[in-house]
Amino acid sequence: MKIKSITPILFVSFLIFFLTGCIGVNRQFGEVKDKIMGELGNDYKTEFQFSVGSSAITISSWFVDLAANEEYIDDMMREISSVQVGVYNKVEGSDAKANFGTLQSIDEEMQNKGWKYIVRSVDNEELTAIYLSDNPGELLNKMYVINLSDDELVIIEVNGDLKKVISYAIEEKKFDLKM
Amino acid sequence: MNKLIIIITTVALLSINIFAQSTDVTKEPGYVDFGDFTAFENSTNVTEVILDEDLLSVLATMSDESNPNIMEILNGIKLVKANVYEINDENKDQLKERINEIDSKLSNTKWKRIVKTKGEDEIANVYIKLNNDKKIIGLAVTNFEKGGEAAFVNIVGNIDLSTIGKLGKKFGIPNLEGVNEDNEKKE
Repeated sequence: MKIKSITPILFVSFLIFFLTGCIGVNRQFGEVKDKIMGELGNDYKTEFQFSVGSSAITISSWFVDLAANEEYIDDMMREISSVQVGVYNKVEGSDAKANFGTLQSIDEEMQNKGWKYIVRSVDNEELTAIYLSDNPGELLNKMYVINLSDDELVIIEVNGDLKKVISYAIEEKKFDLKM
Repeated sequence: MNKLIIIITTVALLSINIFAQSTDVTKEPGYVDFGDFTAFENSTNVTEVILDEDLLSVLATMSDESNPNIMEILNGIKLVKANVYEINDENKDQLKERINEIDSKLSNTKWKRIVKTKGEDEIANVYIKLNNDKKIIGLAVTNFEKGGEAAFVNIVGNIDLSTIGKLGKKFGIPNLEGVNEDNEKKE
């Protein structure tokens, strides 16, 4: 076999090996996104969505190693196996507004899909909610972060052993109750 | 055979029901029903935190004896619940009223108020519930600060008095630091 014909195969293999999943989001993420978008009157259009696999996260952690002295970030990244991200922009002319009612509607949809919130907040028309699986066996293996502002919706799904991430949130950042 | 299946199914369903009842944290003596917050949910800033036993118990396992940390104090805690609402002209009277209602409700039951601050612009109450062995099994905090926020916090489970301050500091719950000292002085 000529080297020329092998090169594309090697290149594709390299991408698959190192950037596992770095192409699109999976069906489950798509379903969650569709439910949330439905609650928002389908007034949001996809800006971009992608997933990052464990290999890409490992590579990222090398750069974090070089850039930061803080071990916990590196520790947390090692525990994360994949991340899916979706960013959606509000269409022009939409009168959709983010309020607590919106958050409750999203919450109902998430609950129906087996997710429970641990934190949900509204801050000047910006909504943020963190969901964990309702299944005790998967409780700290998967997490959704949903952020809805005046002009965009961001959905992030994090997979892996999330004990350190959650523990870090409590230990270092607290749950900022602003009291 | 059909009868056997029906009996097994019935027993299984009853067991699930009994199990569900036993894990229902709202039935715990340390649980406080703060009432319906729907009227306050239109505030500009609203935060709700709810950490249940499943999550807290997993986090508690992260602590080890050689390196004790905040997760250790989560051991035995079944619920951490917080509702925080920004106070505005529309809701300030209702929020104050709700805090007073909760105060009357808890004062008439087996809850013990250990901190009370009442001024025109500020109200802060901390309550604890003890079991027969004088161990704390519930903690409730209500807080109102004019121009700021009103907060309703409930922690259910076995709470070590010596770690209440740490718990308050870590979760950002006001009025808990110094509770241990105050309580010891009273005793």
